[in-house]
Amino acid sequence: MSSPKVDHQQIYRAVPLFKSLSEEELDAILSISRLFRSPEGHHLVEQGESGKGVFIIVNGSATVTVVDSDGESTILASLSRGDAVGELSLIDSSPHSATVTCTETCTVFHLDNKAFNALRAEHHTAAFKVLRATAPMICERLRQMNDRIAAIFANPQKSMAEMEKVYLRKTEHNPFQ
Amino acid sequence: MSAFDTDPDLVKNLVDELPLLSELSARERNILTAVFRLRSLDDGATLCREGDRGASFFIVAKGVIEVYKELPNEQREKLAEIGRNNLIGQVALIDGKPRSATCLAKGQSVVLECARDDFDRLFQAGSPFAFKIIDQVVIDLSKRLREANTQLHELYANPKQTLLLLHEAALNIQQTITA
Repeated sequence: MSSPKVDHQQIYRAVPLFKSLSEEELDAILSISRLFRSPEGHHLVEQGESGKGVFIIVNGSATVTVVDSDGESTILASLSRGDAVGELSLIDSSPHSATVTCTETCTVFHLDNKAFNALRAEHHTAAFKVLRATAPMICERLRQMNDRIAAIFANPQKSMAEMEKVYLRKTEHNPFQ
Repeated sequence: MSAFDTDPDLVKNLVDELPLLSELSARERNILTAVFRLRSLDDGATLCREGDRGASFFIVAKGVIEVYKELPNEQREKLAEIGRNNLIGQVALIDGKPRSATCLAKGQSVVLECARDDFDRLFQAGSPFAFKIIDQVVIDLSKRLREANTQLHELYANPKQTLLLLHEAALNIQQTITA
């Protein structure tokens, strides 16, 4: 029978953030992380709260939602096994930009950003390998964002029609705006 | 014009004088002296072009580098000016994708070039320089992502303002077509 440690290693090997880590480096990360069970409806992180680090769904599913200034909430993404959120909070400890809610009982891996930053301050190779692994994801998301912004201005006529709809919906919602 | 210079003393002096590298040990700075390639650029010389394969990044050691976005009709829009002690082209370290901007020297300038392969070797060897660069790159990228998120969010949060911007964009497109 394999030890629980080996099971963990197998799970985390599959996570892009940890792929390049040696066994010792992965141990260093696991020693400052925790695995916990989270019930349906529980918020792993809430929009606006200070950065808590990275959460990886080991089992189960969750949604990512944002609430705008009018109180309107939008689902940005659905998360399932292996998906991670909160990578940015590892880098700069800034507040979470969305709320993550478990849609069923989940097993969740949490790498706390304070513990991670202690590892980073020690110049531990594990911390820098994880940071480096976040970079391509951020690059990809940045490219997607920039493409979406560019697409809005590439076809102004089409976007104007869309924005008029957004405007109407907002004024309907609050006619005194 | 742009020239390569491999004079080790010259590179050594630049490496020793850059605040970005001053915290590093003498041994680490010697390694970097062997890894970096020095490029001297006359006023207006091209450091890299948008669309080029990006297999390296640069540290500005002297002068200023201007960053431009290429536009249709051979036009360029200036995005930024990068001064001494700052990095250029560092996203290529991460994704190896083509350069996203054209960089030109403003006045006589000198940059230190670090090849991606060399950087990867330094990183694997646990180089404090490589760690420092990665730290800066991810901080910079996450800031840019947050800014892009905010920008997109505001376009939808303030549709009235966005409509004005779109009218402007439509006029600009029309002018380009009729020009």
